Amino acid sequence: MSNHTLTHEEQDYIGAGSLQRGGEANQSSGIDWRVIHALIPWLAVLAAWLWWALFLLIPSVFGLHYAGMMPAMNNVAYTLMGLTLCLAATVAAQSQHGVRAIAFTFSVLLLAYWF
Amino acid sequence: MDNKKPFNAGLAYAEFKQRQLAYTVAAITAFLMSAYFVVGYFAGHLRIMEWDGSQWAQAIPSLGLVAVMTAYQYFLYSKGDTEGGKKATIIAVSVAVAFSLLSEIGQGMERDNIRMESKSQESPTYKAIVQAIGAGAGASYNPYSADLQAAEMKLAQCEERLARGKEKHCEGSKARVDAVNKMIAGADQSSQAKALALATTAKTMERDENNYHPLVKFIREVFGASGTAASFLLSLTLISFFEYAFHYLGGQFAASREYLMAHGYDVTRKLRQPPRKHDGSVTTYSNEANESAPVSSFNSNANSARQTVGEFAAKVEQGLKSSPEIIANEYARAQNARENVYTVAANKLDGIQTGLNQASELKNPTPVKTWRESLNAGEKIVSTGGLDEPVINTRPANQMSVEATVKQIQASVKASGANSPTAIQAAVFDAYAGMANPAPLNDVILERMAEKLASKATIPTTVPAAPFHQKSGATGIHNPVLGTAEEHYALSLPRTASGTATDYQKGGEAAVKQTAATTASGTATDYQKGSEAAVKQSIESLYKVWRAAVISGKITTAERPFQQLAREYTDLDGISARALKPVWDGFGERATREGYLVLNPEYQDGNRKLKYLKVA
Repeated sequence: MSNHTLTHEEQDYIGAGSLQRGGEANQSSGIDWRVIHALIPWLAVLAAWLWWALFLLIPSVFGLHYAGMMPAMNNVAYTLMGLTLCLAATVAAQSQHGVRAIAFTFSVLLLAYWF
Repeated sequence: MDNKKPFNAGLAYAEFKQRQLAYTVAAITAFLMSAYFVVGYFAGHLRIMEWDGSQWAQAIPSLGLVAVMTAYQYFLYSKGDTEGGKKATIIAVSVAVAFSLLSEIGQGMERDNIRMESKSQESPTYKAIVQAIGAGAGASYNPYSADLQAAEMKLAQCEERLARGKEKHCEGSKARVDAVNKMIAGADQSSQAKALALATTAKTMERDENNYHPLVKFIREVFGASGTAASFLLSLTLISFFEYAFHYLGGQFAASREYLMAHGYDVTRKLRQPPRKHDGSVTTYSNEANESAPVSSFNSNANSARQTVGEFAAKVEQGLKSSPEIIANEYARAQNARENVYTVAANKLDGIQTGLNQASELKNPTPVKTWRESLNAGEKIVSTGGLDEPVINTRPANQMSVEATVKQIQASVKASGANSPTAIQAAVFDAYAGMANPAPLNDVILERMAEKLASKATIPTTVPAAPFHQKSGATGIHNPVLGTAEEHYALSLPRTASGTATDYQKGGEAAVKQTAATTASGTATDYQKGSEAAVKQSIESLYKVWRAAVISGKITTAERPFQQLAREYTDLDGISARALKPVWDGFGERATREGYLVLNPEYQDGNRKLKYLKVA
């Protein structure tokens, strides 16, 4: 899972950079920062799916919280909107677009809170 | 899409399908979001069962409007590139986004409004006030009714005694009744005023802006905005995220599609059926599958970088033996190209003659006939003769096959020990010249063979700077600047009448040059002497012009000036910017190899830095 829009050199450069950083960290603390950096977008994506299920899907299905006072179609539209944002976050994590993955997760959080 | 790992068509296709699904979900959501607001706005409300005819008449066109706008977004976002003018792209995206934002924000604000009103009307205070208003409005009890009854009773008794002469007057009783009536009127007025005050309070509390969502209240407090404005800002933020996600998924979908297609795969497992050709023939891919052996050597999907010269030659040999229909097909294409060339030439000649006639109209009132006018009845611009039919000859019995010839050349080069590109090229030509009865290979093939052998003999010292799908030394799809023309080896069709050129070879300078080359070697096939040679020549001269312009500083190395130059200098007007990109990239690579340019270390795909810099 790498970014196909980067050239080989750019990918090698990024890989070398993270190796170097990871190597330094390994020497000092024994923590493999590469793994942690790679995991952050996926943790964000996991959180996004959880929020979506807990604060959008379930309330819409069972008419909980504010969803109960809104028209069903309105709830469906916003649940689908959350689903789209979760999918976008997943695709971004797959494509190693970490910042986008986190931004989409944030938007799911915002939507879930507002919903 | 891991470019470090070998391409796996199954994984790439699975990823493509996933992204297609995600993108479709996004499009459906966008449609629903917009439709909910727009249809509700046009029809008045969304209780479909209660709609009358006029509401249906409003709702159906509004649904169509939303569908068209969403489809517009869908195709725009999945286009995959922003070439062809950034301004146009920005305007197009702005139009699409503006419609979505307005309609979707409308829905968000409506949701905020419903929430605020519901919360306000569920407030205990509001409920108590409404109850008090109801109680006040329905009450018939008056606190002074007993006083009025007593006063009127006293007045009646007084009047009865007055009639019997026992009383002198009843003015006191009358005054009492009047006083009670005044008190009752005052009480009524007070009650009405109180009810009005309650109603006003209830009206205020019905839409209490303090009951907005905490996020809306936060924006209200931070920006000092009204509840409506704060609700708009919050909805704008949410919808902007969604619109960006929609756009992003479209881009990723396009990227995964390009990834498949760049490796020679279609985006469907179903069999596509192309339409009928203009000459009336019908071809299907299933028919073409039978031609796989020779076509696989020629088409742009062949990975010629991984194909040895021997393998290539074997495929050509196999193709010539087994599929004469390919030759016929290619011949038909060549015929079509030839007719086009003649038509263009006739147009130009007639245009020139017409211009000359107009210029000399005063001196010579009888104009000279144009070419078309000078044709006799029944004559056509393109002559038809025996040479219009394909002539397929078989190889003489004692002549070596292409494969055997190539293998022998390889062995000779290996034995010679040549290791530099120049020495290998010389060794290839020497080996070919020294063979007794080789298959007819022209200079282009021999040079290409030498290049391949040289590339195998030398270890590359620099990492290629081109994108992943452009491999240095490769052809076709792997190095589009070289065009598919380079990948097309000349079909080795020996000609019986080697000194006779076909009609269509006589048109165009490039074709004349090619004819001369063919006469010398006697190996190249007819149809390869037309448009491909002209295109290669055109690209070569364009490269020289572009390089000179860049070196002299007339233009930068950027892609846009190159496109303008290409359109001004060549007849590439009809070619899209997207199609020109690989040509530009190839030129940049070539100029870098030749030492005129260097790669800009600050350049990254997508940023605004120049990719290539002039050598200082």
